[in-house]
Amino acid sequence: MDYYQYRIQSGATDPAIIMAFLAALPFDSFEEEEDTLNAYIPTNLDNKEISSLLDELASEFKFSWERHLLPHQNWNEIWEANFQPIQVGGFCGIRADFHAAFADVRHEIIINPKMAFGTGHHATTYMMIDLMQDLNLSKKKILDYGCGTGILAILAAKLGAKPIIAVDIDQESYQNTIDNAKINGISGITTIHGTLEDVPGVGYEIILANINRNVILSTLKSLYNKLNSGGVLLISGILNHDGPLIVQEAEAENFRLLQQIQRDEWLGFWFEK
Amino acid sequence: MAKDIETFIKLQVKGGQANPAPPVGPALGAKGVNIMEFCKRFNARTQDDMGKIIPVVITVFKDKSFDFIIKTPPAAVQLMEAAKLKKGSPESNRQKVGSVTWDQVKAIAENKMVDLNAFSIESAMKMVAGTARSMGVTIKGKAPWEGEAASDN
Repeated sequence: MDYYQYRIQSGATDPAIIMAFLAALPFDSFEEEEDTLNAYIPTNLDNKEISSLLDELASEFKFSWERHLLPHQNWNEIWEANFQPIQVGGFCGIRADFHAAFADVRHEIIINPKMAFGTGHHATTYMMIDLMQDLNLSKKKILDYGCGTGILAILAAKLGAKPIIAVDIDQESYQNTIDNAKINGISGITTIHGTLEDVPGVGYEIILANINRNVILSTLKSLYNKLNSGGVLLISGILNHDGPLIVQEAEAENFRLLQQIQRDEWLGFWFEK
Repeated sequence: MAKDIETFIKLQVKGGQANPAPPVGPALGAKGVNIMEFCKRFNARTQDDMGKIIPVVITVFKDKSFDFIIKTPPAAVQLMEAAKLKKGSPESNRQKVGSVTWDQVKAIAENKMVDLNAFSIESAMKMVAGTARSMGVTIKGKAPWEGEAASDN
């Protein structure tokens, strides 16, 4: 998505005051530099009314502003070009396409993440992969809920799962999953751009959900309904202090907790229906 | 041993909604920081304040790792919310930004005490009231320290 950056020279006015007024318009985020307040707005939300309101505010609060277009681009390019391959024991190795192949892992995944989440560097992805080691995925019907780079769906495919549905609400992630599946020579993943409601059918045997507390809590019931009896729900993206709440709510939906693991400030869960 | 600091980045992003678009993407991306890791951590740590503008100060280290601290929303932003200004409303004109009560000023002052460098709740309230005045937000009634017309403080 393209954005406009409004560069505001706030002069004597407290930048927080200007920000308070702009936040009431559809400006969604700000950056404070030494003498400048930068305000950001998606180009499709910008209009003449905003410019005239800015002019009005500028004369009241004595500031000047100018607008710059920031076309959509892969902002993660520098990190992406420099990231190091990572291994989850001897089970799985993740690297970019420009890295040399691993010599000693059972499953190798190539990820060019761009601006999607999931390279194995983060504790949550690492734990999901770690938990998947102990699952039999062969010929199992899998849902990767919040697929990001598609890393977990791709690993599931390498472990013999079929069919595999991957869904993400983020357009960037949806496209990235398709691209990464292709790089890995995987063709059996059905990728959906949308929410859990857009995922067809029930009878899933394993659901992989590395998302966040709020999304998990609000969809626990649907996740339960989508699973077969005896089906497995792996969850991560949960901070340590939210662990008890997740377990309590999942148990209230009749899930049984089989395993809970921790890495850094994050938790991973294995629930069974 | 403490890591060498490359720079500090000061952003204000909506709680639970950080994404790799500007300003997060360009600000962190230019320093070679893993943007998505920041988003995951920031969103998890601000999930109780979904949609509220949250100030965050990010420390980027020379090895491209990062850490961040989350602050309370600026008093001006909280005053705006308390005055119930509607998004995109024509009332966003400074002349009509509305009013707040001294109870609301006190609540904001309490919330901002840590960041304001204030020694007492009264001095914090005076700072918040000053911000309100600069914004054109009026405060209904008399300040608690002004005697009989005080609200229920």
